[in-house]
Amino acid sequence: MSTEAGVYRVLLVDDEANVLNALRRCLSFINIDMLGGEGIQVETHTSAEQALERMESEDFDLVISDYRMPEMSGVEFLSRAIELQPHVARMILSGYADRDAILASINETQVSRFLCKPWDDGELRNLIATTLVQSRIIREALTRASSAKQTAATGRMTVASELDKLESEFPGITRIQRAEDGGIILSLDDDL
Amino acid sequence: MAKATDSSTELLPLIKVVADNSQNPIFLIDRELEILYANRAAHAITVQIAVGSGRQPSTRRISELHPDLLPSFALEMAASAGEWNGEVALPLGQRRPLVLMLQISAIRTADGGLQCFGVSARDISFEYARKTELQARNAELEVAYRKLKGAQEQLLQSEKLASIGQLAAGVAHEINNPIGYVHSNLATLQEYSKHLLTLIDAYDRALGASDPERARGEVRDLRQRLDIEFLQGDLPQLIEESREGIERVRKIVQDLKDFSRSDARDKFVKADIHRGLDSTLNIIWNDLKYKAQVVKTFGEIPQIECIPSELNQVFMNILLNAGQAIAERGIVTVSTSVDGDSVVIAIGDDGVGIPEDVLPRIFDPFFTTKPVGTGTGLGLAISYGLIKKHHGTIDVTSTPGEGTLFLIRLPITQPKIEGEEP
Repeated sequence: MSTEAGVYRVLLVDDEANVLNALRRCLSFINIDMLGGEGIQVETHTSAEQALERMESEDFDLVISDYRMPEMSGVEFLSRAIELQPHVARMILSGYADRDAILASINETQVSRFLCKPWDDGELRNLIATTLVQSRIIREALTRASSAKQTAATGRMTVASELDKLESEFPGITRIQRAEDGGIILSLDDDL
Repeated sequence: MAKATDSSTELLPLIKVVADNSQNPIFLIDRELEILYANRAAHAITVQIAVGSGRQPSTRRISELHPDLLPSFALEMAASAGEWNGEVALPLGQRRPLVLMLQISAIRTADGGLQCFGVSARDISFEYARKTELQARNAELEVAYRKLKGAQEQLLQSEKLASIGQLAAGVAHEINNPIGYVHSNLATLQEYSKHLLTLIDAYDRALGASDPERARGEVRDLRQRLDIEFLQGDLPQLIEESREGIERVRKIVQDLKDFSRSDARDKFVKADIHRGLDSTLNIIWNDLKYKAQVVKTFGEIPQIECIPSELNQVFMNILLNAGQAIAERGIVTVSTSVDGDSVVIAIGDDGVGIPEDVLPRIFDPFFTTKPVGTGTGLGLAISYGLIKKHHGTIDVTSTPGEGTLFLIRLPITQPKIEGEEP
């Protein structure tokens, strides 16, 4: 049924390897039933730069980033990630939720969630599974919508060119003259 | 002997002249308290007492004048010991009390019997009133001082809390990271143990199985299904990482404790400045590490007499400012050395620097260049006070665009001052 079926791909970025390992363990217990039978593939990076490099060549369904990192903040990382993959789902997982961090995350990168450490494994798994499934549905819907739009546009172009042809053969045939009461005026002085 | 007696007899009228004219009241009274003699000043006093207490001036009996003028116990003491010295205060109506310093001497007959009393008085009402007033003023000052000291302590505490609030972000981040993964690892460990227990059950069943080959196959299947091979590799790593996380939290808590040292507040003790600098650096490291490299150059320095928590507060204020002075990335230097009988701590940064017109005001209370709500304007003012309390000095040099250097000089031993704790 899905056009881009296959394993769900998740990218995790945190400057601390131990956090990444714990998250990887946590996600390994996601039940594939929750993902409509699809598997999940997790990739982790301690460097935001390296994660961005990967995103240039690989598509991901979801990116989860730390907020405070030495190379760049989570917000900067996600802003650049959106440029590479506009439809990727994104979340921030931060050790400290100060106002600026939350505001920047929402306003600049429209994260779907701002999560706090320590996290609850069960909740995180549910959230990730739901997000993955939903985001894929939305992406497929978007793809379908855009292809439908394209078909419609092509359709409109065909109609327009047919009308032009008709008009050139029978000038005035594509125009209708109406009286004040809305009745159609049939012009009889044309060479019928 | 005879000559002496003669001459004293000759001198008697002269002595009386001296007594008459003495500015101190002098009385001679007999055992019935009848006045035998009163000099001019004594007469004046009796009038003053009589007017003050609304009686008729009496020049005959001293007890009629005022019951408290010559207390009976004083006379008894004088009679037995020969002399009594003391003060009496006579409340005189609306006026301030008359206070007399009395010397009562027993004058004896040749056979040793008591003949009469000589009373010499000095009016110390003025001094007494002054003393009372001074005592009252002193008490008022004492109260005011205690209030001020309380206010100062509160201010100090609130400044400390404010800077700790600044740290909260960093410390929370630093604690929540390890807690985050340890917490999650424990949840994983729970799953792992379930798998292991399931496997042990399978082994147990296999031990008692009638068909060993089939049982072995079941165990093998289970091992594969639970991915025991992966678990065996991951389990030690999970535990090691979790221990590391808990150790980090323990360290942060220890640093916070070292930093505040609330158990030994306000006491000068011999302490290692390096330890204070390290624990302070550890606490604010979370704020610094994303933009500054810290270069420590610790010299060989002795322990110094200080209040460690107060010095830590100074270090923290200066280090936090250093971090804030750095916009993107920079270097913070911390060095220590000995200079004569002092220890010098230098804290520098290569940040924005302090403008020349601001520099003279940085130690002023409530002066701040930070946006409203972010700085109390008390950090450096309090630091200055604390260093001064340690009989040390704090100096700053700064070049806009190049950086700032704070020099703290502290005596190794505190000067011994009378009435002050060493």
